[in-house]
Amino acid sequence: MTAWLVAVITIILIALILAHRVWPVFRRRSEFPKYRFLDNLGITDGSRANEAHTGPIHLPASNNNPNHNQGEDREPHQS
Amino acid sequence: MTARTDIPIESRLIRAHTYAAFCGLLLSALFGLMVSIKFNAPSFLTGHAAWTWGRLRYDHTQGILYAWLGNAFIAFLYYAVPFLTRHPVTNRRLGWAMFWIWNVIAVLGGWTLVLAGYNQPLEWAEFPLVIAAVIELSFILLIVQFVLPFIQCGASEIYVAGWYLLGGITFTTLAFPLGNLMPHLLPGAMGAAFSGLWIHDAVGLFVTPFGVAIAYFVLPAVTRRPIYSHFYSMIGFWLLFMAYPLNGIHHYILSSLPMAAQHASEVASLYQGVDVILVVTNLLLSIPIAIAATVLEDIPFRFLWTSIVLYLVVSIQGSAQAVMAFNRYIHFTDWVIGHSHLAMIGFASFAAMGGLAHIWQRMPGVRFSRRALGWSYWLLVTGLGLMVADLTVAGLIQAALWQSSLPWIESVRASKPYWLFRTFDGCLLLSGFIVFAVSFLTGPRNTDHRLAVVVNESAGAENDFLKNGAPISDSTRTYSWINTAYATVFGAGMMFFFVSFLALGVFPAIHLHAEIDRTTPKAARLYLSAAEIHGRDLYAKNGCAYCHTEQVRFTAADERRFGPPTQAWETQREFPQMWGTRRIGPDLARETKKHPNDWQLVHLYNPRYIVPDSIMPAYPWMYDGSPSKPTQAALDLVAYLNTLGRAANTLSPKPQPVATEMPIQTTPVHWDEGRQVFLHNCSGCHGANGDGASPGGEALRPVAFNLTGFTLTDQRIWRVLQVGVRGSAMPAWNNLPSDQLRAVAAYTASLGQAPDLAPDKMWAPASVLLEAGRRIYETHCVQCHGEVLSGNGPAANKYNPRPTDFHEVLPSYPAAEYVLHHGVPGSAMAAWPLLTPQEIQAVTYYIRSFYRTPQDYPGKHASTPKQIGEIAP
Repeated sequence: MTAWLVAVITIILIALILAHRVWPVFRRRSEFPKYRFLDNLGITDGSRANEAHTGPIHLPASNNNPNHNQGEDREPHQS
Repeated sequence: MTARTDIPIESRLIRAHTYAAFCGLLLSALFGLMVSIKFNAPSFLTGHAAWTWGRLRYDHTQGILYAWLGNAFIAFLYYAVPFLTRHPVTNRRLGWAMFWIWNVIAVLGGWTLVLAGYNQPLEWAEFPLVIAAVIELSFILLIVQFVLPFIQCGASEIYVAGWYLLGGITFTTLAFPLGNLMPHLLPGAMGAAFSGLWIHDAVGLFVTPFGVAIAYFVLPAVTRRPIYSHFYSMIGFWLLFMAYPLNGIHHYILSSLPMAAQHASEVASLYQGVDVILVVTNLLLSIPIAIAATVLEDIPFRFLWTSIVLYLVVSIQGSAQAVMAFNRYIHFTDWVIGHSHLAMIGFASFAAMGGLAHIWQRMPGVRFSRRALGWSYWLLVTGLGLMVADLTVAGLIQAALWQSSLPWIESVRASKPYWLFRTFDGCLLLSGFIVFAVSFLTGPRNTDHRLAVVVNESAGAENDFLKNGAPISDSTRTYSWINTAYATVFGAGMMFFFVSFLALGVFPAIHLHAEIDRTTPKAARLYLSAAEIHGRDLYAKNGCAYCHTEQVRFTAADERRFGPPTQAWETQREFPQMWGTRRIGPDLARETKKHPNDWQLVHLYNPRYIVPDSIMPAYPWMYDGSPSKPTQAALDLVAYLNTLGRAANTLSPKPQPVATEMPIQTTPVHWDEGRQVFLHNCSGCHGANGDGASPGGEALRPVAFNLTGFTLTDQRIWRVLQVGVRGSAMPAWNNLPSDQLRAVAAYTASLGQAPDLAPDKMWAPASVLLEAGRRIYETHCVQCHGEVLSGNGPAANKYNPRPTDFHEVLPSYPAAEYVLHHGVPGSAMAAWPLLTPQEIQAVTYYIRSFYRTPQDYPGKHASTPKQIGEIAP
């Protein structure tokens, strides 16, 4: 039973990893939520569509999120 | 055309849960500190049942789980869910209802009931069932409040932090009742299988997903960059939820649970370690090196970064601990306590703190002090680092001592410096928590007035990313495919949860049920009397199982020390099981007949009365003022202790210890060493001077032997040390190293002072004394002590302990007079108040004449009084 469970887990994950590697649209689409989340945070960047699937992208320092602490204790990377 | 929408965030609920989290954190840490102090000062707060060690320990862990982490996670959910879903949470009123239910009924109610003695002895499920039902209701309300907004998003749009939150809420709701309820329905080993699942699920399905969700949420917000790979973050997510529930039984490795299930948990634990490496690698790769130094100046993020690193450390440590070869050594030791503090503080609490501080900086109208937060970070890192190092070393020392044949108390003695240092570390941690709370209440005030998610939607168009990255038709198909795939995997995850429930709960239960049916001996007495059941309840509600396991594992060290391994059939009446996962005191699975009841009662009243170096809590509130006045509760608790291992012992009695020949002394014995051994092991009952005048010794029945009033032969001392004295509280000490045994034997021999009577003190000539003594002896004593004073008179067999053999024991005149006046309480030796001083002197004189003579020595005649001086020691 143990072997079966581990095997099924492994097969599911390998299937996903294979789909991710051979199917560019899948790859791109599967990375979409992280950009969407940045949008929600108010961090925007138009060049992110060029991002294949991983790695850093260069975002402008704009931020439309008004909810950061404006006090003198503010963190250096908050706007 | 762009539409702007503001999605409100429930900042007042965030504040309420944050303040509640602080209260929970500080009180829970205080409970922990009190527990820690009791290790060093076991008499601290022992006057009332509510403050006993076990109940405080229950409140400590439950408080950390629900009062601190629960509130912190809920506060984070109120902030994170609108950002993750672009939808508000379901209902504000529901939020306030949940707040009061969670904090007033579940947390405050749970704490109070635990202290009042209404609890259950199940690790991470100590709150009573009624509170467990309230917590389950709260989890269901959490689903309504926070899961519904996610349902309004497409599955493929949910960011990984959202998946972790979804998984955490839903899987905890499913797992929680299993861990709380099943051990009440399934006894012993079968219940332990389910307890194991929940012990791990509480960490794996509740704490871990929220901690990782906070990391995935805060990291991009601080770096202002997306995470390294969303896809691999999802792989990590699914692997966690599929593999984690399979880990549970690794808390009961080398027990009587089916070996297949144990191996399953072992393999799953290793798999889990691989998953955590994947998750942590992805998180760390998401911090670009170019800005790493800068983002680490963000103190909330510093908490989070530390949490991520420690998540990796603690997970690899956890995987290693599940491997049987390693588990057999470190399980039950302080190593595991260090591991759990690393998990709950280093990983979970640091993540929660980082998340809360990140939120708090953005909360309108609140104060926030970075400086105080920075101080808190260093206090906590220092305190935690020292504590984990301290407990890890203590655990290794305990493991080494448990593998040896040294008495159990040696591991307690060796651990004391580490436990003292742990209290110091605990103070550092509590200080760090206080400063953390202070950082939220001081410093400049945020002048913003509103907290909301600002959403800019491009009407009538697909997302920019999709427009630029792929044809609309292709992306739509992919979108659909991924939605389906994610929904399928989510379904598979749910299935896996149930499969894990089957594999590690139901399957072992079925297997065990059959095994128990097959192996239970027909003559086994498994039912408990009403008094024993009451005693069992007391044992459970006072947390005894948290120091004393009730399972002898299938390891050589356990078998040598405690006896045969605990078989599944032996605990088939244990509802719920109390196998335990920690040994501070020795295992009690084979406690039956190990100590007489008077020993147990005095020990329970104050363990230091019997075992000077014990750190066990005292239970004086179970007595009416003295150890000789136990209440029914104490009697019932001792009755329960005597049932532990009773069934197996009845069928296959423990072999009695056998005395070995006294070794010929080839090396000098040091008096000082003997005194130290005596003070550490014997002084509790016999008193520091050996005169038996100690509170414990006087409360025992029979009372502790007065070693100063009698001279004993070396053979007698050696034999008693080897096999104990049957019918008394004197145990065998044959597990002491032989050099210590010899040293304490020599020291004991030196204590006895029984000089001859000075001639001017004799009321009659020696021959008259001898003859008078003989007549008195033959009138009053011969029935028990025998004609030749060997302790083998016609009535001797009726008594335990046996009457004294005066060939080996030489009473002093004062000691003999005391015994004849008062008798020996708890033994067959009665008081003889009608004997006159002259008669007492005569019979003592007569008795002494037999000392160190052969067992068949017929006694001296009145005509040979001069020989008396020759036989005196």
